[in-house]
Amino acid sequence: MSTLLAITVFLPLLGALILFSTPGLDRRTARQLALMITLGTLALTLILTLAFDPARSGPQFAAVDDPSAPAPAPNDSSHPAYGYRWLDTGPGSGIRFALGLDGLSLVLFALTALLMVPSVFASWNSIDDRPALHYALMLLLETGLLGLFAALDVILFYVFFEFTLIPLFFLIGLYGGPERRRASVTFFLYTLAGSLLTLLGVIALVLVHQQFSPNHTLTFSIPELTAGLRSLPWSEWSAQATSSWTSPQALIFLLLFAGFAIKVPIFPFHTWLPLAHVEAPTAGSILLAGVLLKVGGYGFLRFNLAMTPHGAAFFVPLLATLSVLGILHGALTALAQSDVKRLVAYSSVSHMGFVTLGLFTLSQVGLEAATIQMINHGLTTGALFACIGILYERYHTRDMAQLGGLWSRLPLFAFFLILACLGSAAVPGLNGFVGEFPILLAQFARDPVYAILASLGMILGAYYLLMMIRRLLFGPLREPSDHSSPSPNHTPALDHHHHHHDHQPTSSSIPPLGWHEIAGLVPLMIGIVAIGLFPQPIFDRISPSLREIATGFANPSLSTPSSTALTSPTPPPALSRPSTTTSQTPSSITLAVQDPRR
Amino acid sequence: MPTTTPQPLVPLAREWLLIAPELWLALWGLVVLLADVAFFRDAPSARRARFLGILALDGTLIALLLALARVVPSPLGIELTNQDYSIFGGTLAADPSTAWLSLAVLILLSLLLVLSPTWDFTDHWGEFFALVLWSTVAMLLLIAAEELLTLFLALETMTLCLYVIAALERDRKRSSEAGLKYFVYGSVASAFFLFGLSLIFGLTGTTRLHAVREALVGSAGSLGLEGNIAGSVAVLLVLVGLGFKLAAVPFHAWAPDTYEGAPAPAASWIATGSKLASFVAATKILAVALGGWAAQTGSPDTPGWALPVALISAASMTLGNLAALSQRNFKRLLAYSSIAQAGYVLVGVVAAGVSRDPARAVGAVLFYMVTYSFATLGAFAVAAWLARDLGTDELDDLDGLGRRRPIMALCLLVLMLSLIGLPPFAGFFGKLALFMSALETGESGRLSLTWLVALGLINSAISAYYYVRVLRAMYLRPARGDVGRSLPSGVFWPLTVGAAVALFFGLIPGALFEPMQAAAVPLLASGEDPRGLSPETNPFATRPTEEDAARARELRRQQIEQGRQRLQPGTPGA
Amino acid sequence: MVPDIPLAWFLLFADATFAVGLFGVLTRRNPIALLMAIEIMLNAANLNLLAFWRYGTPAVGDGPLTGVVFAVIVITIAAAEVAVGIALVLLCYRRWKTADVDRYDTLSG
Repeated sequence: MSTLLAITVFLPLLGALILFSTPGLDRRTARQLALMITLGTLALTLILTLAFDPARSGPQFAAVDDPSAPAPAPNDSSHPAYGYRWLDTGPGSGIRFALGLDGLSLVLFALTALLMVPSVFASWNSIDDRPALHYALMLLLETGLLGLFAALDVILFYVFFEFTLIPLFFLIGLYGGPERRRASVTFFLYTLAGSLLTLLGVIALVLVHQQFSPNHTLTFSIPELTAGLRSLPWSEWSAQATSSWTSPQALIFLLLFAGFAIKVPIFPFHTWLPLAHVEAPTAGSILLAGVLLKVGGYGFLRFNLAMTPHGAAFFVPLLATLSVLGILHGALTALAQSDVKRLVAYSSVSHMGFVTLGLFTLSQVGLEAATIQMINHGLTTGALFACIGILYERYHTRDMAQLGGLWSRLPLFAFFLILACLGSAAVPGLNGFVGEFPILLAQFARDPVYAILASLGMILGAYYLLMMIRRLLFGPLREPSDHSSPSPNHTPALDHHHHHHDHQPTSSSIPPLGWHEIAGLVPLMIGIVAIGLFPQPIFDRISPSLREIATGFANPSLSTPSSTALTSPTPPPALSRPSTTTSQTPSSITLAVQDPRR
Repeated sequence: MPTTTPQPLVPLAREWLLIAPELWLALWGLVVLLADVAFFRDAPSARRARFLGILALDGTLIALLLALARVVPSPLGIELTNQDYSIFGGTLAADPSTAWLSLAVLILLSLLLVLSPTWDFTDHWGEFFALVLWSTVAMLLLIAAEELLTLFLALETMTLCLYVIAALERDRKRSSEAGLKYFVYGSVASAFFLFGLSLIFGLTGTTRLHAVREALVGSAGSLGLEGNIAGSVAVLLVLVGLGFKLAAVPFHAWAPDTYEGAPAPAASWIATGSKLASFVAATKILAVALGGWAAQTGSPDTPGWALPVALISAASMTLGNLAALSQRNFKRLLAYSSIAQAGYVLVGVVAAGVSRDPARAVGAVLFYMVTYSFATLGAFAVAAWLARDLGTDELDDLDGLGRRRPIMALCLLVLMLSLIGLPPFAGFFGKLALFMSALETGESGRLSLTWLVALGLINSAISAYYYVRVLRAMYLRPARGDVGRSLPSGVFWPLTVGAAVALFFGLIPGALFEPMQAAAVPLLASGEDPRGLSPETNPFATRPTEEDAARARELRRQQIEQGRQRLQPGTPGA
Repeated sequence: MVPDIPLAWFLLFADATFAVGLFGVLTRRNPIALLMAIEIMLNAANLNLLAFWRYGTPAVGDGPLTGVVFAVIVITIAAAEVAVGIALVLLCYRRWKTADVDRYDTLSG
């Protein structure tokens, strides 16, 4: 299975290389090739998802058969040296090329593979200029994202993390709107600046672990680091010592935070997002909102919360405040927009605020809800951006003032748009509710004030989304008169080329949804409804991984991941108390638990 | 000078064999020069460039084969062990560090020789190629030097050749100005450096690097530099001299002018080959000879050269990057970028001084310098291309390259991303190794150098801004002018090889990291290792023994005695 | 034994010479004068080398003549440096028709 995982990750890269090497490929062939690769990756991901054993914790599908690796010492960490040696760093297992999935990464991995399909369909007719390069960049981005979620080595994670910047820079810069140059450069520099600080944080984690772990092992393995840092016998690392922002754990938390906060983005660091979203081509927007932002949340879970739990606990008041500010700021700004894409971009800021609010409840309920919310946001925002792409392809405007009454013109489109908006507005029975409601619940248990303010954001969210539906779909039919003069980068769908010179749009000049547009949106709609009705399978898969993370907050100095406890031949004395049973509910979060060894 | 006891012929021949590439290259410089005079005097300049370029390249390829023979089992083979074998009485090293690094320098030289004739910039092609070859000989000797006098001699030979080729561009005022500026700064730096070396010689009584180290560790070294005025002055003077050669802030003033003014092939050789060799020499002087004066292990704040070098490194990174932000000329931008890159590498040099595992830090320095050299050479190839086709090398001249020359633009893109330090390119692993080695310096040292590493990463983010300007020009701006009208193969090779190196060693960093690590160990190996070839490989090898030293001291004493008696004939002997 | 001239005298003299050379480098604008100043600095180092050779003891494994050989080689290098320097100065003089380094100003920034 480990080979299958590697094939899944690198299949898009293969497609990208084929497309790169044939730059003159015509649009039809290029998009069909891209679709085949994307569907192939999705199929492989489906196999992996079905083969995944939700009962086990710890990474699955990881290769461990490395004959060159030294046998671990008896009292060594319980995690084997996954994958293959990539770079020798002296004693220890070195930097490894290790891929594997646990429940948390599996769902985001699957989300990436799923969202690629509507992205390809969204570019079906809208990319005329160098289509092969466009699809190559998309597939390159997919490899980066899949690898990122599957990486079991911090350096490998970072390599994929940074690598995603390059294709996205070109996707925005070459295929974006009129301000694309500024948008792509801003996006690139902003995210790079943050992620370099994250790199410093990651190196610091590795070295702290090396210096203070009992065996002084230099390891880059994520499971090993997580386990080791949780039980690090260093007085400066404990919950009690993390009482000011200059303590080691708080400092490293901040360094890691810098990169992920910009990716998410958390409130004051969100300024790049609306620009990038508005300028990006539809496919870029779908992937940016759908997956790229989740990288930030994933990084918070894997690094900030799992490896520096006390640092996280120290900053919770600040972070919760920023999250709420982000929710309200995003929602209020979205209210004021008349550009639909800009509106959805700001709604992303608001919804990702819910994700971070859930994460920083530091409870298992909050973490699970935040993860679900990340998937929901990927599906609904992906669907919304796809809908906007459909609209823009037909009218060459995204201005709500120029559009109206489209229900009669595009009934199927209207149905999809309404469903996506309702899902996004957290209507019970659809997916948004499953995420946002438990987040509010968990937050209410921690501090009701934040929860009340955040629910205000939820109400605002419903308001601006319904307002958008009302202005776009209902009322008298309004269509821009000059929509038939295409911009150089965006020509309307092929099947109405003969209408180019019509100045008054007739009903026949606005084609109904094409098969590819329907095929792109239907899976997302199914996801929106399915998660709303049966979220349990996802919860089952993410729970074990998130429980490990959540135990770090409940009783920090005593708990280690259950997998360590299960497989370690000689658990350290502190493990003698069962720890995984603590804190299953948000109300039992107690951050001030005293360490009995003190 | 080490003892010159009579030696049998066989080991001497062996020693000459071990420096065969250097000898061959020096000879070939003469061949090129004579061929120019004999056959091409009246030929048009472009044709001379082509023929002499091929001739010089042929010689270099043979030297490359000879250098390859050093890393495989052969009569020329060097024992690739961790021991520090030296030849010619301990003046030159014959160990993996010379073997691997000379290979890298010779490959760089081949690319340079492919690049140079593409642009007809001078009438003195014979002199140009001969000087390039001789400067390379000096670089190879500089990498191998195990002794201060040899090191100084090689350094001077190298820079003297480079002064001249910097000024060789025909009809361009800026080229001769570049040459003169480089000359003035360079020779003042040499004077500083030499004065520092003379003080080190006075304090230790020797010029051999390992002997200097032992002398310092034995006497003043245990106390560090605290209160040692002569030692401190020597360290400062050496740092000033090295700072000039490495173009580190605040001794960098010559670099932008020289890089911009000199013809692109000459500038690229100053920025790559000379820098690579100078960094090896700087590492040897600082980490080996003055190793005892670095600082106390793990605490860079104690007196020693670690703290000044850390400050120089911080200043180079910051000022180099900030100055690069506002540049319009592509070569000038590369100059400031190379100043900043020198700052990153100096982080590794500091780490080599204070780390508990200096070999790892030196390995990182070598890895970074090799990948940086290939990337920079490729970038200068683009500058030469622009200068040839357009007569200028401004950043705007790159506009639209992505559409006109997709492959070339892709290669330059890879080089720029590697210089930023983005994965999956070699620059990322270079930076990672450098910064990790700086952080692996012990409990208190880690805290002391964290600021430097943090500054380095912040600087990487700043540097992204101007490297991205290159990308923006190539891909996001419409084409204008005649950029890349035709693609000479001389530009193709340095660019693609540079990109291939950046990509390959980014995906498989171990392939370069392990040889560099293997080179770092003997480069730093302590002076306790036997001088000269080991008895197993070379039964006739001699090494200075305690007996030799005693005899030498006795000889010296007698000389001094005689001198005194001559000066004061009336007084009885002591 | 009548005391020799102390080592420190030589060193002070070398330092002073070096300072004179450095002063010349910093203040002179004529390239020929610059060359002379650089020569003075190199010769100051030579003084040091010879003085240390005369008063010091060679380290284990070193021959008796290190300082002198070093000085001789430095003299050779200095000669080569002057040759290259004069050539460059002449080149600049021919192109600018002036012997003032401040006037060579096509490159700046």
